Order: sequence, then structure tokens, then C-alpha cells
Amino acid sequence: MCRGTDRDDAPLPTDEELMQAVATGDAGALRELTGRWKRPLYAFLLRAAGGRDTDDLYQETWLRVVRAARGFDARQRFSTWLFQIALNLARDLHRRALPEPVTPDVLEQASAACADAAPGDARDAALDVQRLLAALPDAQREVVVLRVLEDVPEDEVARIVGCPRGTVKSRLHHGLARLAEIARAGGSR
Amino acid sequence: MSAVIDCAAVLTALARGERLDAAGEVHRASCAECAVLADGLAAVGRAVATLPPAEPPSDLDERVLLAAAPLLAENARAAAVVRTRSLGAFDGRRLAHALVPAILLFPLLVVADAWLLRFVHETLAAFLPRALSTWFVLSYAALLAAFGCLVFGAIPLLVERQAPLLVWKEDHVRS
Repeated sequence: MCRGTDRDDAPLPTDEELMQAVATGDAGALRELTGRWKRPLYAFLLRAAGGRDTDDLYQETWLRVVRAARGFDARQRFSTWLFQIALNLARDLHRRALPEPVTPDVLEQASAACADAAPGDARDAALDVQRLLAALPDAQREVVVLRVLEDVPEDEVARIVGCPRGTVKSRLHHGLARLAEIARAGGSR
Repeated sequence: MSAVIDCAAVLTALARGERLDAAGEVHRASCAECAVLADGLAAVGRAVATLPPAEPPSDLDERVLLAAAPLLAENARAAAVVRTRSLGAFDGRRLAHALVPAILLFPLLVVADAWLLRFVHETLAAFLPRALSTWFVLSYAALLAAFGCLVFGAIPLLVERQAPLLVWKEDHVRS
């Protein structure tokens, strides 16, 4: 992850060092970690899970982090590990919940909302993006959320979703092409 | 760099609502695929650019810390167990447990070996010159002594190597 960890020059402990402290039961280290990753993690869960149960997923992610802290390998990048846990929880939620069918109506709603979006209307924009993302298959949505919305580098996206970099590129390309298609269909009506 | 990578960079920037730099504009103008997708992604980009920042509830981290408290306490307890048992008293106790049976069995081992050597010496002396059978038996005795030193000398090393594994196993059985 490109944000939150470039602290080589700063005296602050790294995320990995904080994890070692969490493994010994240090609540202060956990507080520092949650503070560092609160917004990126919450935003990712919000988009990846389609806005459902975000608070619960966020809390469960951190509980799993603490539970697995003693097994954390400090040579591993904390952010990758954190987002892997979060992604697995979001996937579990999708598996448990009944899938929302992507009907032509849903696509029409998404594209219309996208076309009508007035600049500056943040709430509408959030809904539009959420609807657009809902039109993507899970595998493409995960990659688009990580790469486009969370600005995660491709190689790290590959590690988080657990597939080769070429597959990430392919999913990203197809996901963006589909989003463009939906948005264009809304604009041409 | 392949065309796919260039396309990916351009399309990703458009979907984020970012302005393309000069190289990106050149690519968009010359790439048929990007030209087709650009308008649609520009609309997506407008929506993404106006996305409000995801704002977690202010008390969310407090709730997380509260829920994590028992797990942190468990981590602290496990870490303390490892600290107290990995060095000092722990190693001494384990070493004693390993060495005492070995030392108690040592006289029995010596007596048994002496009896065995005497039997072999007598047997060999029945059909070999006595000096030659003595040489055989002494060589064998020296070999046995060397093996014995190696085995008893290795006990502290084995105890030291096994200690972390035993602590790990005890922790996992308990949890």
C-alpha cells in the first residue's frame, strides 16, 4: 500500500513493529495501527462490500488482526496482510448474502445516475459509484476498488487478491471497459 | 512496455477523474481502444472525483479496542509465558529432567558394557591369539566410550533446541 507506511525517516515505529507489539498485548500499538489505517481500510470495505455491514466488517478485520498477531511474519508487509483479511471478510459476506441480480434495470439506473451526476453532489456521486461497482463481477470489482479508488500498486493488488499480476491487469481492463460502457450508455440516452 | 500497460495507466487515470499528462493525451489520441472508452470513463471519473471521503463513525476505533481487549490480554499472557519459560529456570528444569535419567542409567550401562566386553574377549581368545583379541576388545571399548561421550554431550543441545517447540506446543494445546 502506498500510503501510511513511508516513514523511513521518521522516528515512528513501522506498522510491522507495531504488530509485534500487538502480539505481546500492547493496546497502544493497536490504537496507533487503527489510527493509521482507519480511513483506507474503512473506505475499502465500504466499496468492496457494497456499503453493507461496513462497521461490522471493519471491527472483525481488526479482531482477526489481533487474534493472528502472534503468527504475523514481520518480513511481510502489514498493509498487504491487513487488506487480505479485509478482502476475505468482504468475500465471505458476498457468499453469505443473496447476490443482487444485475438486471438491465440496475444497469440503467447506474448509467442514468452517472450521466445526471451534478459536479459537487458528493452524496449522489457515492451512490453512483456504488451502483456502477455493483454492476461488476466480484473479481473485477475487487481489483477496480483497490487500483482505482484506493490507489494500490498493481503488484500489491496481485498479492492481496492472490492472483498473478497479469490477471490483475486483465481484470482491471475488463472492469474499466464495462464501467465505461455503462456510463456511455447512460450519456447517450 | 506493452500497449496494455499504457492503456491501463490512461484508463485508470480517467476512471479516477485525473487529468492526463501530455504523454497520456498522446496515447489516448493514438489508441483506438482508449478513444472508445475515454468518454465513458470520463463520466465515471467525474463521479469518482466527487466521492465524499469515507468517514468512519468517530467511536468505531473505541469499539474495536474494547472488543479486542480480551484478545490483547490473551496475547499478553502468552507472551509472558514464552518470556519466562524460554530462558533461565525453564532451561534448567528441562535440562535436569533430561539429564537425571541419563545419569541414573549410566552405571547400569557401564556394567552391561563391561560384561559384554569381557564375554567378547573370552570368545575371541578361544580361537585368536590373546593379544589380538585384547586389541579388538580395547578398540571396541574405545569406540563405545566415544559414542557414549557424544550421546551424553548432545543432551543439553537437544534440550535447548526442543525448548521453544515445547513452549509453542503447550501454548497451542492451552489455547
